[in-house]
Amino acid sequence: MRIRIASLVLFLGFCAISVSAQDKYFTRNGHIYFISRMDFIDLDANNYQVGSILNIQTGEMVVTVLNKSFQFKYALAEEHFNENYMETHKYPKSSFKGFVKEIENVDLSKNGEYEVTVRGDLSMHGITKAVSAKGKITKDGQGITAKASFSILLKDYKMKIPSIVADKVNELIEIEVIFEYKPLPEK
Amino acid sequence: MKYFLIILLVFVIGGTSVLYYIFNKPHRNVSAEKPSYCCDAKSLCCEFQKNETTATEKYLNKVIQVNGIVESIEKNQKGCLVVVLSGGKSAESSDLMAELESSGTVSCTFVEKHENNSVPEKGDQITVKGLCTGKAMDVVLIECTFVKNSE
Repeated sequence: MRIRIASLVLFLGFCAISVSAQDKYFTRNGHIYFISRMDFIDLDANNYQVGSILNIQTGEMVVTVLNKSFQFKYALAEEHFNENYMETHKYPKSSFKGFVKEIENVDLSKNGEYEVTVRGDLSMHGITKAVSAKGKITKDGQGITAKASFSILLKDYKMKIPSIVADKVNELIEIEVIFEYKPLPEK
Repeated sequence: MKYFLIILLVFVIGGTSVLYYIFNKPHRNVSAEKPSYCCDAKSLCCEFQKNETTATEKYLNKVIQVNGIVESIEKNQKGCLVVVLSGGKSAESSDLMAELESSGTVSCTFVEKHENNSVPEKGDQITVKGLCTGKAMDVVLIECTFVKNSE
């Protein structure tokens, strides 16, 4: 009996060690790019200050984005994005909470590239909607790079398009995401 | 008729150049602006941790000058320098999103044409000026430039 308890304690101890091993990866400099293709002009923006944590064991992924950090080529477009579409003063943040499917295929012991699917809830402009994206996870040395692309519709997030340009603005926004994760330091 | 054509031409040229100007409106020059607030990284993080909504209202879209100690130096995917200043303590949490948003640091992304000869080191005390875009993982400042201590 004593041996059994001892082995159980040992086993639990081993479990605790393996749980505390490096599961979580993070980045504070993630990159999100989006583009709206229109007949007369393409409007695009970059945000290089995206925060994210990926739990490589469970596949859980969280992303937090400041809308004001999106920088456009045209200052006028940036102004319209902040004031009319995203209403940054009311909704300063967007976020994503979800899971990377097929995370179990990712083998961290060697370098490699894996096709994955990400599913979760995207919260933006006061609205939360389920989204799904095809992506790729690349293990390279110490870090992990995650890439995904998907698209959303402006009307799904209740972004009003001024009627004067309604027939010119593309409802479809194409989004690309690139996160270069590093191991999250233990606290 | 001739006058009419000249007037029309003037209007067309004038209108086009006004439109062109509006469309190519220059970006905000953060480095040339005077800061609306000056504070240290610790109290800034503290304010955001106490009440994120009021702190966001106060600092969002404002140029602020922050003094703090360098915790880490990074580069973003565009190649810009990112300096992380230590702020408050990060809170423990079992929720991954709460953990992500509890880091309690200030991240300063520098302007693209930053000169590489003045990169600080971990532990240095520095003062930066940048545009606050709110708090996600860290309190984020973009378009940052160094402020000389003598200023």
